[in-house]
Amino acid sequence: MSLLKSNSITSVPPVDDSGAVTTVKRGPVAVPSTEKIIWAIGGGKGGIGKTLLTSNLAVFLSWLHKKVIVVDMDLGGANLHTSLGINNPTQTLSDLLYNRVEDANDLIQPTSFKNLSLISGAHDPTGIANMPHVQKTKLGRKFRELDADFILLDLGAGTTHNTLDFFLMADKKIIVVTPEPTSIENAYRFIKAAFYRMLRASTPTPYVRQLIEQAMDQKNARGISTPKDLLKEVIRLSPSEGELLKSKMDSFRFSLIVNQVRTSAESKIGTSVQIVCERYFGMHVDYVGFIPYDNCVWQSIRKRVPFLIESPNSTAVTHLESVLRNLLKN
Amino acid sequence: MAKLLNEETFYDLLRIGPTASVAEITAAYQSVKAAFSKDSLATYSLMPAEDTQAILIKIETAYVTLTHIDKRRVYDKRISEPDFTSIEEPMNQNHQKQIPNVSTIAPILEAPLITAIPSGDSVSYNDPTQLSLSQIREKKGLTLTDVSRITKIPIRYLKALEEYNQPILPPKVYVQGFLKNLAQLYRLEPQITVSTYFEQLEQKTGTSKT
Repeated sequence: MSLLKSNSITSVPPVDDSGAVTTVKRGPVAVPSTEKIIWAIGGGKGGIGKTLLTSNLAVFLSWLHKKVIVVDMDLGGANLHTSLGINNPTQTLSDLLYNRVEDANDLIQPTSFKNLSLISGAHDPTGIANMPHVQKTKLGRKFRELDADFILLDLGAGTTHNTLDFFLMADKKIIVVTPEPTSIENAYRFIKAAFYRMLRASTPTPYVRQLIEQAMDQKNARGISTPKDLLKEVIRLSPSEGELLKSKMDSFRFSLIVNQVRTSAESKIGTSVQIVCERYFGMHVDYVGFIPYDNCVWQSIRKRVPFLIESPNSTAVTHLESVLRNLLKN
Repeated sequence: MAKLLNEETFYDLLRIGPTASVAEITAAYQSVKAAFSKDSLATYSLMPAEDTQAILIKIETAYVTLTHIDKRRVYDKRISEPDFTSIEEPMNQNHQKQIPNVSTIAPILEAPLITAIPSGDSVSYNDPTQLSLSQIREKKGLTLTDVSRITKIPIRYLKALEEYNQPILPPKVYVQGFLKNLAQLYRLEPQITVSTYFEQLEQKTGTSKT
């Protein structure tokens, strides 16, 4: 069974009935087979279920005979190990960053689930949450060296450069929202920040960078308030730079999960966010489904067992399965 | 952004293919409208109300055009022409400074459609005093069912409005709301429409409901 390839957005892996990826059609640019699939799960706001969804998706993937490593990227507020029922991680990411450990594979801690292991986030209270760029690149490289099919990054809340960069590094970018204004607001702030950061990093041209920075500042003098305005302004100054920017904008896409849905009206929010994002950012959004609010979920948190294990017949699990299938599809 | 350099069509706006059926158009219309509606959570903190309102008006226009067999034919012909320009364009040029409201958007939105539909649409909508509601509706090529479907106003009230049938009409405040909805659909100035209607109603019945 071959690995899903990263970076090739166009290739859609066929999925068989068990939900497992069977074959992958390679694009013209073949990605080295050592490449892993990195999923990043973010969303801007805290307490919306990122960690819980990450651990349950990971367990589900491991059931599909995939070798999965979850990495707690909530640097400073790591608690992924708890949701998987592991007590105190002995080695954490900071051991790697401070060169106490050379090989990232040494950080891997087994869990009680076959095929699923964990790399714990740093517990150091200071410094680590704002690592320099060179360390981020190093960490990204180390992730690709890990012995796994899937690497799931559980991102922390907020829009720190760290969080944004690990989100952008991922092959599949997953945003979690709950049907609440606070969550939606933070998610848009997160998407905007990531989107503009990606655009800014993609161009070496100083004046284009300057325009992007102005667009990031909503009160700029040029009146650039949306990505469309930005593109128009760049096209006006230089059509070739505009084409470049547009192709970068078009390539950005993310998957959307709506969590803690309580009413049928709330279940429609995913589609609405998708439509609004497509219009505002011009980006492609894969709405992969919602997870209904379910009492079994918080009960499972108390027991420190993934709800997938604790209540396999719950509606939350049914929806989680369909979310995972959709994530594997595109 | 995919459509930024090409002009956005009503099909793009509703996220449907050029051969979509009326059922597909209606389903698409409902989900796109829900996304940008006033109470929608999805636009929260991202888009100002003026922008979503402008989009909503365009969505209504798109729906009315694409579900009307003749209008759709004319529209399809128009967008297949090489010099097609989106009706969104004139709006965006003064978008940065000037915040458009419904009444200023309306003529811009209306202009290309009038030329596209040669059915005596050249009446002056700014002065509706000479026209009754039913005449305006007929000029627009809409049936009562169309209007009811778009505005969600029950047909019996629409009928009563057009026939100045006061006993059927609900209390004045509701009638005002209906008229404002209709004004938006017909691209009329809402306040003038409301005051004109009540003048007409008074003439017909000799009383004004309070």
